[in-house]
Amino acid sequence: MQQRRQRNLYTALGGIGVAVVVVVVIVAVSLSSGGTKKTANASGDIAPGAFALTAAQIAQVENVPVSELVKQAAPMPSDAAPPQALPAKNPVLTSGGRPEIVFVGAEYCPYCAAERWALVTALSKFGTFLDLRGTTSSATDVNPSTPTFSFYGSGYTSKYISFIADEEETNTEAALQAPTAQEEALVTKWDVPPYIPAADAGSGSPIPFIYIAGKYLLTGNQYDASPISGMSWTTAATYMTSGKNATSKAMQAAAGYLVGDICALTHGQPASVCSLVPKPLIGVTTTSAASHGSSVTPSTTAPAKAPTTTVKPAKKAKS
Amino acid sequence: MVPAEEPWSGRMVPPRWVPLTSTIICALAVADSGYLTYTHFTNPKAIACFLAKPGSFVNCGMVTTSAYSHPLGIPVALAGLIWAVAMLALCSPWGWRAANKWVGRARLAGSVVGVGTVCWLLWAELIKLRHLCEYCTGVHILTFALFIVILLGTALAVPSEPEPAGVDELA
Repeated sequence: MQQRRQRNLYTALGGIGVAVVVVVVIVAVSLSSGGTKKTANASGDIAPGAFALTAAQIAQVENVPVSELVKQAAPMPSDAAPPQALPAKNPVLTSGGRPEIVFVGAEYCPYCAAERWALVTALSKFGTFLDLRGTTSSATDVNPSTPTFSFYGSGYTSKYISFIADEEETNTEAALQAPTAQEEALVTKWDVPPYIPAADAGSGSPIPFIYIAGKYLLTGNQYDASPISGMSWTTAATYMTSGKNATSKAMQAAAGYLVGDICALTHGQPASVCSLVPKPLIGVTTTSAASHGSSVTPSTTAPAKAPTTTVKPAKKAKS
Repeated sequence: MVPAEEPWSGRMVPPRWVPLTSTIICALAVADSGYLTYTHFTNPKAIACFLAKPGSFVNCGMVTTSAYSHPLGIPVALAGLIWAVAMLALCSPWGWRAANKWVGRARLAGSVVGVGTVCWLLWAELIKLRHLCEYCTGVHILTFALFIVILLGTALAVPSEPEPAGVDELA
């Protein structure tokens, strides 16, 4: 019996040893791959010119109900443009089995500033942002100092979709994040005519560039946010979420279109969100919007009085 | 010639510290996973889940709302709670006293499943998500501790003393 007890003890110690080794290996792999170091994704790093937002400030934007978004988006045409459709044969871009949305922008860019309000409002229906910061667009560009979010150092988790963002430059146009090879390839392939106005071709890659899982595309802002130029962040948040002015309605309509397209990608998941989206908005594009009476076309995706900004070719090459 | 060892078919008694220690560990695991389950079904953005400073590596919300939070479609917090409750029953003094050998086997299997799941979750947190959930880590540590206690308790268990003759008559 004593012999058997000793054998059992060795077996137990062996089992404990194996478990300890597995844990040590996982931790070692994590450390060696920089897994526990700060990364561009959800690093909490803060870009020059950006500032912290309180949870209440972020919640104010995230909590605009889906019903409000679709209410503003449903009467097409609205003052916002849905994304463009990409060729049906284009494969769905996924990450971890989830459709992936890729944002390429820059903090100086006033049109990216406009688009982030709609993007944060829409994406928060499908997942959780963390470490979102506030910032303003360039003080010397058009619509100077447009208050907005910064995706730099932020993170996003969702059961339904993946979202990665690249803020290439600060709001004073200093280099911030280098695009990944994947982002470069997407921009090179899709940030070109006919997805951007022919007149913009050759002057760089327009931003914001939002590649929605290979099925939808934005190569500019969906609506005009010039009225919030120069506002404080808090005032702008209240203005944008009120639903009581044209800019707020346009922002919410833009978010509604994004929600509809994401619901098409997630096959109606989560039901708590997508069941509130009317059928015409599921997978809505500029083309389908036109068929519903919209005058919006890809070439006028960006509001006419707000030409899409571009990343300067020299800086792109550097990054 | 040494006679072959007879397999013991009676009750095995672990060291005295094992039932109490394992019960306490399981109770703590029930409390921790119960809290995670509560926040999962009420408010995944519960304040307690977002105590971490922005950018902090330790960030519960990034983990509990991730794609890894629903293995096989089951909320991982709920799975953890069910496991902890089952282990609390198996590791209670009653569980350790049970003569049925399947109770002991279930306890051992439960601890192995628990530690296996901890390794998977650790991989998801450290390698895939690059964030650590403080409350999940609490359950992980308790699971690992329980694994050690159960393994040692099982290995160090000794056959129970035969009932003294005449006990039935005295009762």
